[in-house]
Amino acid sequence: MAQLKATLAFARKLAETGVIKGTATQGLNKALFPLSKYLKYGLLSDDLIKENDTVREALRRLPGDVFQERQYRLARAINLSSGKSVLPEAEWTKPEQDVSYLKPFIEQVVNEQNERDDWNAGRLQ
Amino acid sequence: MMSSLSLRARSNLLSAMPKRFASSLSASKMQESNKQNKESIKMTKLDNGILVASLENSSPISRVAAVLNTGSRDESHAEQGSSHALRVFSNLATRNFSSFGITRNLDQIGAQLSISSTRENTTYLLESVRNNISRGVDILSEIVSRPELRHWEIDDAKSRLEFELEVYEQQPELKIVDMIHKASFKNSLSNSIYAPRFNVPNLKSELLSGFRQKNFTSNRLTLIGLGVDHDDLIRFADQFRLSTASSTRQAARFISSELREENLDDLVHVAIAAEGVGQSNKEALASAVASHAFGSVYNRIKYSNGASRLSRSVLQLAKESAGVTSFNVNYSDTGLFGFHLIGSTNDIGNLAKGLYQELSKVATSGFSNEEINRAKNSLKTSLANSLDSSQGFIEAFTKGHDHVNVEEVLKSVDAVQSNDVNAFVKRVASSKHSLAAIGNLSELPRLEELRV
Repeated sequence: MAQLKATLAFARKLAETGVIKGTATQGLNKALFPLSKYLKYGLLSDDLIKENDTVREALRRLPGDVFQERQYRLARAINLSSGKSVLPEAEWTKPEQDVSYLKPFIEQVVNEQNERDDWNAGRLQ
Repeated sequence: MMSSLSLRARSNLLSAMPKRFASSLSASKMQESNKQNKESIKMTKLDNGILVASLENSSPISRVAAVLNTGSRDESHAEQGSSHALRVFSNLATRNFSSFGITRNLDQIGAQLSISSTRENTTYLLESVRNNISRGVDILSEIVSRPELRHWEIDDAKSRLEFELEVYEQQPELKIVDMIHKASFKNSLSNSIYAPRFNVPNLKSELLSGFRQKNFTSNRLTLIGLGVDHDDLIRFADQFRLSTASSTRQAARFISSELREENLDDLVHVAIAAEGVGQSNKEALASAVASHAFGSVYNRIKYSNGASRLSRSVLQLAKESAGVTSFNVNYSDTGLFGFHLIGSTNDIGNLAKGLYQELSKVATSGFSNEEINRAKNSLKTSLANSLDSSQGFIEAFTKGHDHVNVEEVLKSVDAVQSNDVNAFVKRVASSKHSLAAIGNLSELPRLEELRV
């Protein structure tokens, strides 16, 4: 699956360093997962995060191949949506493939911004 | 945070005034020091290979220097420029501090962190008020042992690296030093301390981490503390966790070759060098005396051409402004001894030929005793001056643990024999030379033509 290989490898590296914990295979996520529609377009949950400045900065920090795969998935999904079709069931996103590749970077950006705000406001470390 | 460099392992000669800070902590100590009751250096070698050395110098500023015995000479061909990159990128995020956090925390405790590297050593120096030194060391240890080298931070900081290269390329006096090393050594010491342009795109996170993994090892780390308690420093050493691999260093091999860079600059820089001696060689001091006897940058009178041997002979051949000095560098296993000529396009050929005539004159008849005494005095002054400053002390300690005792250093300079100095010069004159030149070289003969 060309659209997921690098992302999965990257997420495995993140999981090894303890940055992310689970995928959509546990708890509430597991229950909600089959009810969601994004999996039918072959998207991951992190693909759907609305873009703002923070998210854009986090996207800038993605490794090149992970970013390109995300672009591929989004383009394919837009295509499908405009043709009012979905992927065949074999190609739907599986729960274990729904890795959280972008959230750690978003957290990092938010933490950095908070650190700057704390220092500038005088709440010293 | 400054990113500074030292081209040769030499002292900061601009700190001419001896600095003595009277500290409120040590008012009583000042009285005692009048009786020459100086503290001595305490050294401990830890199990992981780190050498810890401390000296109480009664200063209100504490200094901790993490000196790594690695530099541009340890770069492989693919890694060229890694030590420059690590020097520029040393303020980027570490595992527990962000780049912003490093700057702000250091500002908050009133500390300064600087990094300077030579071909053989990289020094991370932290200077801070005594009370805040442990917080400063937290940050210093992070930068030395746990930098994250995130790829986007490196991309953002690349422009700083390129700016340094642009500034470097406009200074022929810096380029000539790297060029003479490139012309004189086949490997290791031929690497420039600046990244070569062709390799800048390759200086990415993985390459730099690989270089660090191989070369930033515990057994190459020396922690020097000035104004720091020795036991405290041993505790600080625990925070510097580096790879415990043992690293070998390539031996540098001298070669005679010529490196000429032509452009239309009317001010031509030429360097001529022969193989010198290493730091621990018994001729090391003789080489330094020889350089001072010829005339070096250390014994120049400001704004004058001076009365050195080279000024009185070679410089007289110049019709337009010119400068001639000798230089001497002692690395760990070898060294470089030579001359640096600066002259106009039309003069440079005569200067170079005149230099060789003067060199053979000294080789045959040697320096007079008066010249040698004068050279010894200026060498003693420059060594004592450098040991007066903290940075000079740290550099000297890195070269040799016995290089820091001022009385012993002065005595060993006095013990240098004229015969040794003259024998050294004789050897330099008859051995293989290498040449580097940059500028309008239309009147500069080739090395082969100069040596007849």
